[in-house]
Amino acid sequence: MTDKTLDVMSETYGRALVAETAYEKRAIWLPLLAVHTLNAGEPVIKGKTFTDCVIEGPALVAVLQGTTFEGCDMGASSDAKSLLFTPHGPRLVGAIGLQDCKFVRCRFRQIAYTGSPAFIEGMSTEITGRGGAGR
Amino acid sequence: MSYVPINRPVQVAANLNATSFEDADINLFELFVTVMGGTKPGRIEGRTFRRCRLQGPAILLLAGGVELESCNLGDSGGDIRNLLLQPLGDFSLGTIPMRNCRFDNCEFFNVGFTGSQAVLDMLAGVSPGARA
Repeated sequence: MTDKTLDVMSETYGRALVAETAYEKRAIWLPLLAVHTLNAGEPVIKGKTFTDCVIEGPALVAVLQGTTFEGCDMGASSDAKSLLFTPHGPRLVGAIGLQDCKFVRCRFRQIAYTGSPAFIEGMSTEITGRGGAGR
Repeated sequence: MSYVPINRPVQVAANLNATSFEDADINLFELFVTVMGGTKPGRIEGRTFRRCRLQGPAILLLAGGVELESCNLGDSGGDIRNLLLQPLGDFSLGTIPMRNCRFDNCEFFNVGFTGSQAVLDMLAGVSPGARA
């Protein structure tokens, strides 16, 4: 009888997950996707489209060039700034980089955000629970 | 006492519900998810880690009573501030909160750190034994 337990930390599972470029109506555990992306030799999550997905943390996302958010719920907080962090140095250790990614009607849970000073300034004034057009 | 590099083979922690870990490799986000399903969800508390490798990606919120003794906080690129993040709000969402935990000769990989200004100042001037 075959053991059908899904090992989400396995190389097989990880390679299949990373190979996908479009995710629809899925629950995405972002730290897991990030680890498998790193194991595949890629420093950031790049060029993927997420539609009607729940993006779950805990995670700090570094919003890099080309990443957009359309009609997204960026997370629940009475204080929008609780979703934001600024780095003390020029590097972002521990953050998950998202480059050229597109999020459409996604919900973000236990996710915080960081990026350039311009990005943080813009997000702090724009986060009202739903993200508009990206940056 | 200074940090002694961990060179042993990978040994994934068998039971993430344990309160004491020695010579184990741990994904911090897996540990967090395990704790969230436990009897005291929401915070990793009262744990001891000795000679462990702790892997992210993750941002640890040092919420009080955390001791870092002879630890390698990770590749800072020569500037410890690269491992530190400043919260802009009152609640540090997206992080992994820790309280009353001790790390003894541990190594962190792809992990950032945040907390109160006092915690950040302490880490910025990090010494081999540090207490948050």
